[in-house]
Amino acid sequence: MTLHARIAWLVSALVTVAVLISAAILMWTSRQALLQEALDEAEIIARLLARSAAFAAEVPGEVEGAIGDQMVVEATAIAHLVAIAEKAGMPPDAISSHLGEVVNHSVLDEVWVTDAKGHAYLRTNRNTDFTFSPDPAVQPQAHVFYPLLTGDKQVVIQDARVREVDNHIFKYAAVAGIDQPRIVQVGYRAEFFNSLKEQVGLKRFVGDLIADQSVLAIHVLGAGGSTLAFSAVPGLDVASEFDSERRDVIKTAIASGQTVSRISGNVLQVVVPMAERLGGTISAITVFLPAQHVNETLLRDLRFTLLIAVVVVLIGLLASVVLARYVSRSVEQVSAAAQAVEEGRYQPGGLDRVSVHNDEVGRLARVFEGMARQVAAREQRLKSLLVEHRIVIDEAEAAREAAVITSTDHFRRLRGEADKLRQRMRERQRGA
Amino acid sequence: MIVSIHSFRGGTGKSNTTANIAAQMAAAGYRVGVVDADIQSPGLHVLFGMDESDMGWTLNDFLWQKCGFEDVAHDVTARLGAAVKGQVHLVPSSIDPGDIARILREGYDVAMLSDGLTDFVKTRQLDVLLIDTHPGLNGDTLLSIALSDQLLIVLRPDQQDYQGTKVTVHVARQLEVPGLQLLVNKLPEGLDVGTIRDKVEAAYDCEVAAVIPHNDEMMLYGSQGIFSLTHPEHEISRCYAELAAKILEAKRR
Repeated sequence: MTLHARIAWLVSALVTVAVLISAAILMWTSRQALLQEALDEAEIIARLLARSAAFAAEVPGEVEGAIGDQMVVEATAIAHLVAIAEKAGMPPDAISSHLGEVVNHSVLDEVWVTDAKGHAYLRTNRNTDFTFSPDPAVQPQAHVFYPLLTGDKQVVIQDARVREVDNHIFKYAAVAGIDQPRIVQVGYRAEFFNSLKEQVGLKRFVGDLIADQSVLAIHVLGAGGSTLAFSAVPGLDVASEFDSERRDVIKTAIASGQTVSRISGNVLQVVVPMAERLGGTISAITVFLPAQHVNETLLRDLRFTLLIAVVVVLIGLLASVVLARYVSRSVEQVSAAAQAVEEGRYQPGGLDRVSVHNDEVGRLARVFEGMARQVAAREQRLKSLLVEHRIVIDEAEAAREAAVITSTDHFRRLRGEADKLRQRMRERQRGA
Repeated sequence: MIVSIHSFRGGTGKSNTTANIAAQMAAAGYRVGVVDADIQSPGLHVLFGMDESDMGWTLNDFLWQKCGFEDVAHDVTARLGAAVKGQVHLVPSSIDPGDIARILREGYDVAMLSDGLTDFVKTRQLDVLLIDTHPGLNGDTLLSIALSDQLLIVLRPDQQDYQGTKVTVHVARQLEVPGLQLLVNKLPEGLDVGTIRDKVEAAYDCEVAAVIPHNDEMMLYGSQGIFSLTHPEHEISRCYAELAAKILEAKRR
């Protein structure tokens, strides 16, 4: 593979890898941002719900308290009226009749006025003869009013509750008599409290949040593990929304005290632990949000990112080819010059165009040019030496010098014995 | 076969050539004897990894009849630097200046040397005996040449060597040495081997056994050992192997 191709491939590969990594990081951060946005939204919903529910829980009690105070005023007024009427000599039936008129034209439903022994001889409900007893076993609800007869209490206000005798919700308030020991009690049928709780309570808020379908479902888990409120948009498979995996997510959030999310299909489940809310009555609020827009946004971002990545890679490929050509051109010229030197056809000055560059390749070319000149000069010198190399022998002088040696007696003896010596050595060896 | 390796001048690489030829012959499986007959300036033993303490009796001691020839021969096969199939037996000369001065002053018995060399060949069962001579043409050298079956003259490609070698060739031919070969050594870079071979053969009417280029690597290696054995793939090593083969081929002729 040529240097040009190698650089082009290398740069292209680097650009491609860099773009893919950048795209992956971008997608991941985008997904995280979208999920975080959804989480924040769910957390706001959950905390708003918890705060609203806390406020709503206080309203019925305050309303009942105000009504109770008003009933005490009414009972006190009746106590005075009864005292005046009896002092004026009005018979009990007439007084009861007047009390019935009051009940018929007001929000009061019952009036009970006793004598000193607790017998309700004045009453609006003529058909029920009733006597207050101090024994809780006999009268689990009414016995609390008996201390008004003994003077231990002057006012008793009882919370609204289901009446034993007819299962209606009633609230009672009573005061002690003005003229003698007696109980003056007024009763108010308080079915209104239940509807009030429903109108301003947790379930109402949960239902309202689901109504516009921006939230798929809300589940409020009580501290004891019971469901305090749950509402879901029509069509949502409620059973599948509370499979074992989703219950595990709720347990994880409660255990960690941290908001936990889980995305499954087109539903994003966000569990916000609420251990400190409403005095510990709410354990966790689970908000189910549509994840479709998250997925759609991610898909849109993915397409856009891939498009950008393809464009950048194409630009990178083009740039790598141009860069490779630019970088390799100088190197290829130096390489071609080296080959020319090797083949003995290099002409000095062949790298002048590269040598002018003030970079590493330019420096290489200058050094190479210098070395090539030296090599060429050396080769030229050696060639001339070879051409000039002659074996010049002065034959006469050589013969004369040899004669000086060979003319000596020692040499003549040696020459005479040389063959004998060699012969003797051979015989001695053969003798072995 | 006795082969004398000679040069007209010193510094031709004669001793190095002798050691490498011996090593290449041993590598080819031959039993080779090497005699350092350069009594005036011995140095062959260094190439075979020997120093003065390893030598014991030397050629000088034999010539003074202090010991037999067998006592002065050393089996240096294990010192070659590489395993070989054959053997190399070295007869070193004394490097003691007093010994050198004495042998030059008193000379020695020629017949005794020839008998000693013969015994050396016989007792060590040598296939080839190489004699590294002293440069020039003094009496000792002439004797070595006279004893030889083959004479290899080492020369460098310069005018002084060319002239001196011509004298040596004249003398050798007068002594009727059966075989005569030339070795052009240390050929400078740039000179063509084939051209030089042709020119030298024409000038001396003699076979050129090898033309060995100058090599810096071998020069730097110096006398550390036998280059052709420690660098078997080197171009120079191949030259020595071919040279050894040429000499053996001459023996067969």
